[in-house]
Amino acid sequence: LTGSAEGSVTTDREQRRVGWGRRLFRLLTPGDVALIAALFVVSAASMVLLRSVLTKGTHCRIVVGDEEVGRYPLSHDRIIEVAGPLGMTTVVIMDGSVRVEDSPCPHRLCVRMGEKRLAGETVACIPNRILISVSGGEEAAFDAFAR
Amino acid sequence: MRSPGKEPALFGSSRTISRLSLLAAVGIALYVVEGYLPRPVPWTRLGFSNVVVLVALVAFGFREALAVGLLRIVLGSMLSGSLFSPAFLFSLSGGLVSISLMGVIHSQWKHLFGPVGISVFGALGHNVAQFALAYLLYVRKFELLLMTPFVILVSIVMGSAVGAAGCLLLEGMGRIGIGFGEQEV
Repeated sequence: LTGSAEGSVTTDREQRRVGWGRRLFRLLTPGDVALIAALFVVSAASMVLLRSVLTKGTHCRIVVGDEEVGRYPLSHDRIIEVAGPLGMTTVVIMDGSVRVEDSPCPHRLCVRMGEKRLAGETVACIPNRILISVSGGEEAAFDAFAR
Repeated sequence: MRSPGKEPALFGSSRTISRLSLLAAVGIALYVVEGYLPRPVPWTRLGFSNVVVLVALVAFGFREALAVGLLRIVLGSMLSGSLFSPAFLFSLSGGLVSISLMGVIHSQWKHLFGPVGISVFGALGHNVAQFALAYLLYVRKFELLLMTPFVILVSIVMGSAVGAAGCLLLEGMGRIGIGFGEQEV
């Protein structure tokens, strides 16, 4: 590092001696740092904003194919067995949220979608043709905005 | 160097063409290998193959980057068996928006943003374009906006990683003397 301190021109050999972390840090321009920081702020702000815009759901609607099989309040914990073309899908309502506990579909994406509690959120099991959508008090206004 | 009196070729000298082909080949290899990596969500990719587009843009220019990017998308999709499938459409739209955005940033704000910044813009453009397409084609649901913070975070992380890799690649190319297009003899 002594050579690079004296002159502005560094040779490859000297440059290679500088640690990887320092080298990567040098690759960032002030604009890059500002951009990344700004995007972090936008990301955090949008998270807060979206959470406050969306309201908690009060009910969930379960549809199999084109047919509605039931409407359940999220305030009451329960386990529902829903019959689809592939078999029984287990839906659990707990602590104001709804999720798919178990499903006979091959990829089990619906199980991995986790719990939904906000109005307008949905869990779908496309192979078993089950759609669970959460609805709430603000839903009408929300739909109007979405259109 | 272009010789005077001759019709200028589309991409300059054969040297440039061979280097662009090399970049495209590396991009395709990355694209295919990346397809074998486990993915948390289907339809998603880390986007490491975009490093060649970034390098082509910085070392050669927008037209060259577009050529490398399109080659990478078309041939990569062909090799991974998704040519003209919906996945290809997503790849193409994301790639075009990303390359255009990176080209604009590179030509207009070169003094502000280095390769890392350009790459973050590219990743953001890529992801936003794909989400817009997903909204138009499949899920016409406002809830897709819920993914915004997540999309921005992923763009920052992957854009920075690709940008840093691009910087190192540019540096290495310069060191062995195959970088920076026509200027260098």
